[in-house]
Amino acid sequence: MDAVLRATAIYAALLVILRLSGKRTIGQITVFDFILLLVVAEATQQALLGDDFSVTNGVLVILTLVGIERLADLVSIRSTGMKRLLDGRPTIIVDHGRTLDERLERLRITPDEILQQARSSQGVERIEQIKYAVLERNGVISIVPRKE
Amino acid sequence: MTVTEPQRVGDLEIADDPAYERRALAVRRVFAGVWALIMLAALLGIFGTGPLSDARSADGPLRAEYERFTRFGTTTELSIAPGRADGRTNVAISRSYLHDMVIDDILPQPDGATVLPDRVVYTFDVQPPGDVKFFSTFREIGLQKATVWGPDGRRVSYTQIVYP
Repeated sequence: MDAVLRATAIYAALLVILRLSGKRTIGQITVFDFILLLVVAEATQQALLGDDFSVTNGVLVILTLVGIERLADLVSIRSTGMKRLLDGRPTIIVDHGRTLDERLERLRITPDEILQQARSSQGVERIEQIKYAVLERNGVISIVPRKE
Repeated sequence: MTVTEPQRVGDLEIADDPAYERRALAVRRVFAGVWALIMLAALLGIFGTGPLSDARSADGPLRAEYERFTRFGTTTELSIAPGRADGRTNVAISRSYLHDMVIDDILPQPDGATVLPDRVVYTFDVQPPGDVKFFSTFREIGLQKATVWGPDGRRVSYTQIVYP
């Protein structure tokens, strides 16, 4: 019983922390994000397993986490509100070659990062050549280039 | 090793197999049912710590409370109420049971222990309610059979399941 409850509590806590910290945390990972992820994983492992290192406990924790994730997927498919709560919403950050600065500031994204994504995915050279840039639910910036 | 011919679906060269997907979906649905059962069992304590795991065996005033299901390498608690527990008393535990575990702590600390061929007798100086607790860690998995004797020769026997 404790394994299931512990895993559920940790999942809920991580979900709240990661959602409140902003969607970029997962989508565009930097070296510092990576270090943070390693430290969080280490701290989480202690909380998940406690002093019980048995195979049974490990399997129960994994089953609980995977199961909650699948349940969350199912609920998200059926409820738009829940999907918004769990995954957030896509946000337009460039509109017809013009950066939406207020949104960029709120999302803590720089034009450099948009250009980096534009260059690597579309071979775009300048912001003006972008029709739309969207910060997607999964934290990745997608680029729609302007047609010449 | 044989090289399979690439499959075509319309203009796409793709290993698409709807029949396989349907079979995989059926298997996943069965797994979802099994998963739900395992979660329910875990919450009830079938895999240790929970209402179905808490167990008690008694013979008259002698009572032993233990975890019916426990896990390898984790601490489990055995609480014994010897019954006659005003002053000096003793409880005994079968040696075969103790052989497969490490006793981490005993509360209160016994005044002494005597090893007999089939059991270890612990002597305590306790006041009412007089329960004594053994905190121990199993070193073997599987069924573990225990017998606990009280000071007046009464005894209780029980079986624990130790998961890996």
